[in-house]
Amino acid sequence: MTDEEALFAYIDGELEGEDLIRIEAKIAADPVLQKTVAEHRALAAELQCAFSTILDAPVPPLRPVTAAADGKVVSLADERSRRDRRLVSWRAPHWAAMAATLVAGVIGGAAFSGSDRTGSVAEREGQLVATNWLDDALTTQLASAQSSEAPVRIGLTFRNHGGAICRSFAAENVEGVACRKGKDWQLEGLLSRERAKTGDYRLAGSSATAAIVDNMISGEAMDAHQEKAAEAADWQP
Amino acid sequence: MSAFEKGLEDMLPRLRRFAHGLAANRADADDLTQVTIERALRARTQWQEGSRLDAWLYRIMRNCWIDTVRSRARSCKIIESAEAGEHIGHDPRPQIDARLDLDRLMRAMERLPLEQREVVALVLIDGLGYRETAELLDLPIGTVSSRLVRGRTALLAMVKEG
Repeated sequence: MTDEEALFAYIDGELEGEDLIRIEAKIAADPVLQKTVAEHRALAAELQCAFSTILDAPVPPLRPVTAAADGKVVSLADERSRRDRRLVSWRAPHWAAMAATLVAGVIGGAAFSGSDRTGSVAEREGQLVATNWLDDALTTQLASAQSSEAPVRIGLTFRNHGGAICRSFAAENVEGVACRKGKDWQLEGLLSRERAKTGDYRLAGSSATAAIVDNMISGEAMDAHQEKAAEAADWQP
Repeated sequence: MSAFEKGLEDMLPRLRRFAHGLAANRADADDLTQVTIERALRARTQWQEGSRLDAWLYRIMRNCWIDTVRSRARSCKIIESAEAGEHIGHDPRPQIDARLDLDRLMRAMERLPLEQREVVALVLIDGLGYRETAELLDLPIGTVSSRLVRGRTALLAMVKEG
């Protein structure tokens, strides 16, 4: 135990015997140590006092405790994922369903209107792929080095369970996840973002994309170094 | 109500306090409490009657918090949350006699690495001994002691700078 550790052990009442006598003598002879002891005692008291208000506060109703009585445990996480599923309801992996929505919402122009950068999504061999500015951003933009002004923000770069490299992105009106296949970025999820950027919706949109990532990710997301290496390898597995 | 459920209910206030020590804000702390209770109820058969329920629950809470932070680190990196946006430009008015309320202390705690925050929460806030804390976290007692030194020293510096 270092002297510093012994000093704190003393403050916490953890010292006894010779150690206690030694530290007490040291403190008695040193005004600086006396001040340190006083400050840390005050901090501990402050912490105990502030956090103890929780002990006296009424506990908000906790669903599972009441729910457990009838043998069922209601999970907050389950409720959340239900809520997220609702938000991600058109994140169907089936392209037919997705294409229908995209025709109506994205390719139809609603999502990308107000911009001349149209045609950012195309259908190729029955798959939806990123084109033009979305393709450019996914291919060339590093999350670690993107300007805050960039029209597309790249979120995470990670490998899916098949080993392909995938990236999440967010633009003004859409966000989603695309995975590299050959020279294409195939869209694995595309969500519309409300124009009105109210806090709630932004959060909900993000958590929906996060849910997609959570479902797809194998291992951890890449760090800046790994992302750069993946770019150098043209995002090939 | 079974002995387990009774014990769980009695532990709720202390569990919530520990959650407030780990989480950044009150809403997160209550979510964490909720998730911990759920996990504890599912895992109730793993608790051995006669062993310490508080240590068992704290361990579950700590693991839940680590899971939350991991999954949140991913969502947060995707798009900065609206909540974070609200904090931009936040000006903590300089107050000469700033009172150290719970929220301020929670924010200060949040700036500590988890490994320091949990020992501060267990020893300084919950009042567990070094040995109990070491057993709960499955760490050598010397590690608990050194993390505690670093954690509380950093905390004091933050509190002083206001």
